[in-house]
Amino acid sequence: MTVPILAAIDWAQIVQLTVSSAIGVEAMVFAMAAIGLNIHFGYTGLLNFGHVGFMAMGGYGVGIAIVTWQLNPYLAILIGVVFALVLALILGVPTLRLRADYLAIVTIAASEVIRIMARSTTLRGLTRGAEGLNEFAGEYYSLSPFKQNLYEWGPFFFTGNNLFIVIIGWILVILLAVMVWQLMRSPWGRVLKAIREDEDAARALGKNAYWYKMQSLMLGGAIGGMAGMLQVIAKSTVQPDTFVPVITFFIWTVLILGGVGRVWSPIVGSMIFWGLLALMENLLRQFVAEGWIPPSLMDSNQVGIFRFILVGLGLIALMTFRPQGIFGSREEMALDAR
Amino acid sequence: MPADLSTVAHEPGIPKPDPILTVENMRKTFGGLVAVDVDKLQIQRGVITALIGPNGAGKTTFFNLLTSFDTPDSGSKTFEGKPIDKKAPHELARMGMVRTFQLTKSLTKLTVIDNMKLGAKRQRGENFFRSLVPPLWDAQEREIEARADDLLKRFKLDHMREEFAGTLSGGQRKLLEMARALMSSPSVICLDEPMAGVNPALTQSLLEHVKGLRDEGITVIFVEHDMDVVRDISDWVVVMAEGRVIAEGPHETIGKNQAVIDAYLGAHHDAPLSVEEEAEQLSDGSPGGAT
Ligand SMILES: Nc1ncnc2c1ncn2[C@@H]1O[C@H](COP(=O)(O)OP(=O)(O)O)[C@@H](O)[C@H]1O
Ligand SMILES: [Mg+2]
Repeated sequence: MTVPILAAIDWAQIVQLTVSSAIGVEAMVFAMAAIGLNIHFGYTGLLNFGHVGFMAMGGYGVGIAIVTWQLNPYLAILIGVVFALVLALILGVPTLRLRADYLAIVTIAASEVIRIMARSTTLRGLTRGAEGLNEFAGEYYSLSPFKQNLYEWGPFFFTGNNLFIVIIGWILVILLAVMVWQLMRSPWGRVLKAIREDEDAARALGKNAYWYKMQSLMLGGAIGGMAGMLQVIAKSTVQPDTFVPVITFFIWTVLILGGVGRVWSPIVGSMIFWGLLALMENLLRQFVAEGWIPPSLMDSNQVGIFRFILVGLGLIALMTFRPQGIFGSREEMALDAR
Repeated sequence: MPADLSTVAHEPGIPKPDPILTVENMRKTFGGLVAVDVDKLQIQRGVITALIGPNGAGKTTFFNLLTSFDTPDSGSKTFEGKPIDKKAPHELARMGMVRTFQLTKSLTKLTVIDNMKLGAKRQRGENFFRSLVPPLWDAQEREIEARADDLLKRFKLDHMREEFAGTLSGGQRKLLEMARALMSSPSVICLDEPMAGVNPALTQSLLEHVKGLRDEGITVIFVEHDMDVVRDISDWVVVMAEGRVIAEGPHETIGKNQAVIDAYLGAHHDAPLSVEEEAEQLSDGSPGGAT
């Protein structure tokens, strides 16, 4: 075409970076975390604003088990799950009998408490403070069949380790989504959805709402913990500042983007979220590099931040024109307003 | 009729020959307001008991206390002779005491049929681990579904089977809530204003259902304002005012009861009625008699 700007852009590179990001480690980790959050919020109506806390528990569970306690890597995974379950119990026992907002407050606070405790000098012996736990992931990568350093398919390339964790991760994500699908078409899922709609109605029909909410919190939390484990194994390090509050809000974004309470929305939401971020970042970078965006307006260091502004604007547009998300049904959403 | 109330005196708090539910010294205050203060009340098994009283008399609060949705300041209650003061609402429901709500609680984003199926008790698939293995609960699910379809037909909701409950009209939601409660095969059902908002064309069939429940041996307690309805279906009437039970008896005696007349008149600050007119309205059940 005749538009010079579009012609000058290296579209091959943009597509390659966008797609790599949409199927990469981050997209996989956030898809899994969002599956957990979807169980909490999408199916049970639990307001969890500290999902990153579960990821931290999973990540630290693995790290502490291997580095500090010198346990074997399989047991470490179990311990990561147990850590997340314990957090669910600690959060749930005092709050799930109370109004929904209590859980919201406690989850926000707890996720920050976990991060700050992990950094603290008091727990240095366990968590190694701000520098974190390192050199534990090797045990997992020794299982990898991808021994080459680099694998390439056309424009796409992955390191062997990365390929390994991405494949394992996505397989798990699919399995978990299928599990959620099965759960939510069962009588168990029906009880969760009833609690989401009206807890008292469920209780009047003989359902122990407290216990079901606890199960939901534990299941979603354990899945969040698994996402955290994959995250730290992919990074080969567990550091407190991996688990900052903004992660929770990215997970919410992913979930809302895909459509709350739908089986596949965490997966598609995450792929679109990370794909779009990469797309915008690389487009902007090329614009800046070619001088189409004057340096007085934005330099290449500001691209990273600016793309989040664009994502925010995109979300506002989504909420305006398609508030139910990609998979959600407008019809169902309208029922809430009645 | 399974049990005989004809020998029971028409006095508030009077013991019944075969009580399924009993309440003693039940008291609940909200701040300074005494919402419920029932010294003694027994509910006869297998009959339809109407609970009436002016707005704010404490009927809903009393239901909440009875079904453990609210905790009393003091008092005790028994069900089938066993104390149930410490039971949670879901435990009472499992024991056979279900309720509906004055403000209907239809589960809007569940379909009508899912609403119904939820009501069934002892579902194998409601266990987390079993829910993952459908063969363990498929058969029971189909059985429940057949029962649900049956009830939906009886309540004339079968054409809405696959719709979200949120799309139903107010009256249809009342019907759905009642049908859903029946899915648990209760022995006592407490209905809080089941007819409110229901299309008059449907009221009659709803009344027939309620009578049908009694014929199946279910004990029915219901709150109702329409004296026609009360007269039509109730075997026994309990009148509450300002938290207390002020009268009990068959509906014929209630309209003539001075305490009841006073209670209703007291609630009618703006009613330009004489005592005689009000009493007449109460006893012949014309609209405006009870609110
Ligand atoms: N949660 C509450 N907080 C404060 N006051 C309440 C509450 N629930 C009911 N009340 C008061 O208790 C009294 C009885 O109410 P209610 O049981 O709803 O009466 P009824 O169902 O007979 O109309 C009313 O005065 C009402 O305002
Ligand atoms: Mg009421």
